[in-house]
Amino acid sequence: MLTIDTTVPSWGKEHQSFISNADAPTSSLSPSKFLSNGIVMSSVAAAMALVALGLSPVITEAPTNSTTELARYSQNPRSDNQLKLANYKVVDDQSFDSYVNKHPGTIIFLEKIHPIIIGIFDKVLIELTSWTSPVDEETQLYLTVHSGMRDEDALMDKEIALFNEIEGDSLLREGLTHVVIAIR
Amino acid sequence: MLSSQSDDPANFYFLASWLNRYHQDPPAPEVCRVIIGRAYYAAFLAARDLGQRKGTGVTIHSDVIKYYRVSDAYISNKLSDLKCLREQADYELTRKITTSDVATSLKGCREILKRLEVLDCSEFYPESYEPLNIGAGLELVNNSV
Repeated sequence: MLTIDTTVPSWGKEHQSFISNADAPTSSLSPSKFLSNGIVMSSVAAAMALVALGLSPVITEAPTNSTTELARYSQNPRSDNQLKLANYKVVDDQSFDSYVNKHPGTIIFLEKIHPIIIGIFDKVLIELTSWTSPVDEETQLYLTVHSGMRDEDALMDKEIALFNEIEGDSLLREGLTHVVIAIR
Repeated sequence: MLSSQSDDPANFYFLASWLNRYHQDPPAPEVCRVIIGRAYYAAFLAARDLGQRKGTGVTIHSDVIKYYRVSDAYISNKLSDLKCLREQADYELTRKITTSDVATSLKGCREILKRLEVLDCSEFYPESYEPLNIGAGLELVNNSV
């Protein structure tokens, strides 16, 4: 199990109370239970919370080959910039735990990049997928932003805006060592 | 900028674009896999060559990606994305390759070549570009039957 600092960063405090009956943060966490912006919950609690919110958890397809879909989350634009869990499914907790235990900085990266992506792309689905290269056998986490945009120039502008933000932040730049961002 | 030299990595991009345009819509799965592969190698080789001209000595794929992580995070990340698509296309034959994967590869390659100033972004391939003499090939096949 990975031990992480559960201190909620100042930029995440406004989201700290979301889903009040979620598992309380502890000093020892399974990384797969960590969603974003201080939200910590098990997948069961997440499903229960979704039902309470009148939403249905989305059941995704089983993983194929070396790919494992790990988590899905997006922002509900109706909630005044509060993060809402729109759909969430952990297919392989162990794979994600194993990955993040090897690269603990990934959690901080994911936490920090999420509001930036939402700020630039607005309502988008974000997927996390681990994939192991059959050539160099290196496993990386792929963060796929499903923009739904058809206009290539407009998409490119947003992509450049995202990377300008990353370029200006050493922590985010460092995060790209282990996380690949795919804009679709 | 645009070059017609045979050792220009951009030629792989022209071939990939040409295959995408002139094959049936959508291209056959094996054609899609070739397009994705050529698009990645065009981008990788252009990035590697530019790095070498700057005296880096980087040659292998992961090292080129690491080199650009410092100098241009966009290129580094995009190369990683295209590399993943390329390896999935070439090694994971049970994985379904979509036309979206093809479009992503071509677009990503084009953006990298443009950013490296290897290619004018408006160029998909030169007007005169004709890498395969398909008519002659078919004639040869028919004569041999």
